[in-house]
Amino acid sequence: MTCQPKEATTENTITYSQPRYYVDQSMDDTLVQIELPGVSKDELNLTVENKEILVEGSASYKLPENWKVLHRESKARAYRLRLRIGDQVDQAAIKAQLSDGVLTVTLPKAEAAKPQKVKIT
Amino acid sequence: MEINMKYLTRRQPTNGRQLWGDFDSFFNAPPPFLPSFFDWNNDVYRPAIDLFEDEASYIVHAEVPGFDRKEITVELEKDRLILKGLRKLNDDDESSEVSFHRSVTLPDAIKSDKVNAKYENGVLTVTIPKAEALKPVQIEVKS
Repeated sequence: MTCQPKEATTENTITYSQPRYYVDQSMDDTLVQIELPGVSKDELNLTVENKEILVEGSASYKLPENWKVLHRESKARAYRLRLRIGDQVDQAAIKAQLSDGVLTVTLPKAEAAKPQKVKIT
Repeated sequence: MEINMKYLTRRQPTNGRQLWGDFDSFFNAPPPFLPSFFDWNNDVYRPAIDLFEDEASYIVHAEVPGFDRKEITVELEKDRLILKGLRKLNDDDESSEVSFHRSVTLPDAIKSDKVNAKYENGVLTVTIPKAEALKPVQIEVKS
């Protein structure tokens, strides 16, 4: 289990929050879709290390100073998500694609983790 | 966003505590930093909306990640801005959809024919120019 504080963390004045995400599975892959509205490809980092994936992104966009806030529901557009992927992912073959504010991470299952068909004799 | 047909399980919301079945051991996620703000309800969800103003305009931001530009409609009904989205998810043997419907009543008179909307990185931005304020008119005092 990773050690992480339960509250949003503040580092270098950036407050990260955990993005909403979804998980799908097929025979060959695990698919994680992470919602990162407002973050562009260049503002996003995905690292794979120590059997974990870490997604970090923060939008450089700042509200113009002359804008007055009348109503606000959104959170700061700085996201961090750390997920443990264990031994059962082929780390070298991980792929990620950002589209319409959603990062899709494809985690191919390692051969050993795929369902095996057992021949009946 | 394309949903690949080959994925077998249904799309479900996850906040890190609600992993299910054998997935738990496979993908042991840390607890979320923040309480879940996900109001999942019959495939309808409520995108976060912000309303700003500057001297000339009202500006609305809506966070609707995953929607394609063509799946979003923006309507103006007098001073009410209506944002709608509908996205069909094709699963193997059943289809479901995700939709949202939110409206914002603008505080003051606007120019409805000059509304501008753009969608980028999952954020919809709608700019609605304010109606030009009546300029003070000076009236000559006659003797």
